[in-house]
Amino acid sequence: MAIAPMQKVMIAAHRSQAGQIISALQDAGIIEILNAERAMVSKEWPELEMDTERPKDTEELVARLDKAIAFLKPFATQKDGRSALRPLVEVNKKAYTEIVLGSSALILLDKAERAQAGIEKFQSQLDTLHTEIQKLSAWKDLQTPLEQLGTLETAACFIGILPRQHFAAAIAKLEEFQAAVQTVGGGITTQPCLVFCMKEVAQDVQKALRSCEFEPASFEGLKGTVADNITQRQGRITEIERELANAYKTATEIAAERLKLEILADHYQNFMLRKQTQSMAPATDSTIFFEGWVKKKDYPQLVKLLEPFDGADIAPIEPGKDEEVPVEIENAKYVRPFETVTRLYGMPIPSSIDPTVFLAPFFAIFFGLCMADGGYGLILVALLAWAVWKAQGDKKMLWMLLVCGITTTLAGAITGSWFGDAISSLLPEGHALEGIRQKLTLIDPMKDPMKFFILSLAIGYIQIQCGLTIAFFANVFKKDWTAALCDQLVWIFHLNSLLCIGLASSGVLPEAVKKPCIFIVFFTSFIILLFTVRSGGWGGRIGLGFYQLFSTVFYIGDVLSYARLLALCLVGAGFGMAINILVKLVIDLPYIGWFLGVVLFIGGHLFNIALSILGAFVHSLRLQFVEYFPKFFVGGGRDFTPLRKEYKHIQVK
Amino acid sequence: MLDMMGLTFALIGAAVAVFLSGIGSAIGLGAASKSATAVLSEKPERYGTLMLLVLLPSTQGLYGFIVGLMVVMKIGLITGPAEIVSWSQGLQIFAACLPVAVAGMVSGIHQGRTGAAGIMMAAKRPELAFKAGVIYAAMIELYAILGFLISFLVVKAIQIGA
Repeated sequence: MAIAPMQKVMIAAHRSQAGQIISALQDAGIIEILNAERAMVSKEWPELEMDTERPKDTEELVARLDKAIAFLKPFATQKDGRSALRPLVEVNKKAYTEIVLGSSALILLDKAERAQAGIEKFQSQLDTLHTEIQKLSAWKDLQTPLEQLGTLETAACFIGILPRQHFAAAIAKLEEFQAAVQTVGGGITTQPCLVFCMKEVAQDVQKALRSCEFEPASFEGLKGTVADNITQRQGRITEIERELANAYKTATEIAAERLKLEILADHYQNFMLRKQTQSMAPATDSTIFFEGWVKKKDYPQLVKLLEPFDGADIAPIEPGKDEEVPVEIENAKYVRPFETVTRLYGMPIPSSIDPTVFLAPFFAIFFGLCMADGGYGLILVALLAWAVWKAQGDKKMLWMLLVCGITTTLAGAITGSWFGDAISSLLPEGHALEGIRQKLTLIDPMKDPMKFFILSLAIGYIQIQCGLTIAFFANVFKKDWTAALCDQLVWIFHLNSLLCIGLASSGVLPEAVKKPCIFIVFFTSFIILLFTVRSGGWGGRIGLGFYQLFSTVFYIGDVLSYARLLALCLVGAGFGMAINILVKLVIDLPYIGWFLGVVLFIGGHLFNIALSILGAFVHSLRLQFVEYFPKFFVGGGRDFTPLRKEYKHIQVK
Repeated sequence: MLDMMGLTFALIGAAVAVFLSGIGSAIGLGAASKSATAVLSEKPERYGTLMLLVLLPSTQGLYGFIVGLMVVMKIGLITGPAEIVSWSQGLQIFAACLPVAVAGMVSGIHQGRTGAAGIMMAAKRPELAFKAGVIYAAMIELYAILGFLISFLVVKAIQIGA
């Protein structure tokens, strides 16, 4: 339920054991190892060096494997149990070891690369041939063999294409030089043509043609007529397409075994991580230093892990001055899913607190109130329970949404919304479900929105007060009494007194409450004015104190922001109602009425669920990040990133 | 004909609420979608994150639609029979529709533009997509929400047929 205390450690090891040690550290996945640039030991002893050689061979192999896997992915037709929820293939240790130690995966990689090169070559050839045919097609009516063009003794011949709009102008210009123009076919916008003239005026003719945007065509190296050339190329295309089909077949066969490549890719990816960490660590000729961070509770495990290595020693060390401590948060099982929200925002700084436990109930309630539909909630719960059961790896997000599904169901029951107003509008009057719905309904936001509005603002006010209270206790635990009193306690009294004055004025609280509250407001205002800003000269302090006092308005703005809970609830319920109205309209149509009604009901409500989830998630998130967190939480901490095995494709069992 | 003026004003109000906020959402979605398609051509793996940013401006149109629906139901056009709406009541309904219409349109457009900027940022800095891109864009929606709430509450409070 807090930020995990961290311990800085130094491991000094003989180089001969470095590989084994780093492998053991990666298997344990509990230590973040600093590179030479960040390690304090390098600053104390600048003579320490790091390996300048990167594990290039491994990097190259990993890149080749990644490329081959990406190439084979579209050819994989066999089902191997992968899905969006289970992206990793389960592999047993024996199969993993066989692939890693054997040569079959490397042979397969070679085959895949050859298949890819072949396919790329064929595709490039096809592109070239299609381009050539496209160019030649403009000249398909030219009967003269191409090798004979431009071989005149006393005359010059220009072959090319003129834009249709300049063609008449070009003819007029060419007449001046007594040049002859022979057109060949012709398109809508272009006119292929051959221009003949005497060699003496060839340069002038060329200039005139250029001025008319003449695009010369080249048939260099081509023999026979254009039609022959087109036929020849079409034949070649058929041949290449046949070869390409074979290459695709080969690729499909290789893709059936791509798991081997994926095993190897994940293995070498982890190997590369180890090598990179090792090569970046500060070292002497015979000793390597792994300086890093470990959670305090994992330190004994780390010591135990290194016991078998006689050439290594570990000691806890003090962090350097102003050194940034990495942050990891740890929460109880039931709160852990909500770490998703904290991680989305970013880690707290080490001196701040982990907000997860404090945001969890609010996030779930807000999400529930934004969606507030029992039917939607039940669907969400059923889908997410299935997803949690099926999914692989980190399920925090799914668990969090599952909890939110439960609060959505509860909120729906309280607000009487089950697929919008489906129960009251689509079921016959006096249906048993309507009776149950009415019994469960406490506030109907469509009929009595003001009640829900006040509820939304009240929850918002409670959250803001919670934020201030958390900050108050955080300062008390840090023994920063001044901040606790002047920055939080004073505000708690100030805001609550103002609220009481407002409630007493509107008759909710007895009038007698007003007087002491006014006194408290005066007193707290005085404290805010003088002591909220506690540095600088008195003039500046009082000036900024006035601004702080004015910021009471911002608290009102913060509370008003919670009105979105009502708005989103109304939009969801209103849209659900609109769908039900449409269903009622189409259901009376003859023959297809029922069918259309069912389709519209399912499709419409699914659409509403999707939009409601989006709105509920984003706005509940925003209320935490913008209204709640600034009261007690400081983000910007650096993530704790231990060296651990990472798998992109497989899961070793 | 003057008898129908109230109903006409009310219907214009419903229409304005739906189409102005709808325009806002459509322009906003268009701006965000254009950026998203540009980014997806290079980084298709960001589809999920970008979808969130693209969809954000879609709610303003819904706010307007709900208010429009409320008006149409209030005057009994769907549920029938149609209520008698005096011209002053019609004008009141028209005025009540304006907050969601205007606030929805303006916030939809700006939310879309902010979402588009967020999408471009998410292309380079995916870790900021939520905490900056989505949250900044979501902030703009507050004013459409306030407009919606006022429109909704006022339409609900207006008494007709008396």
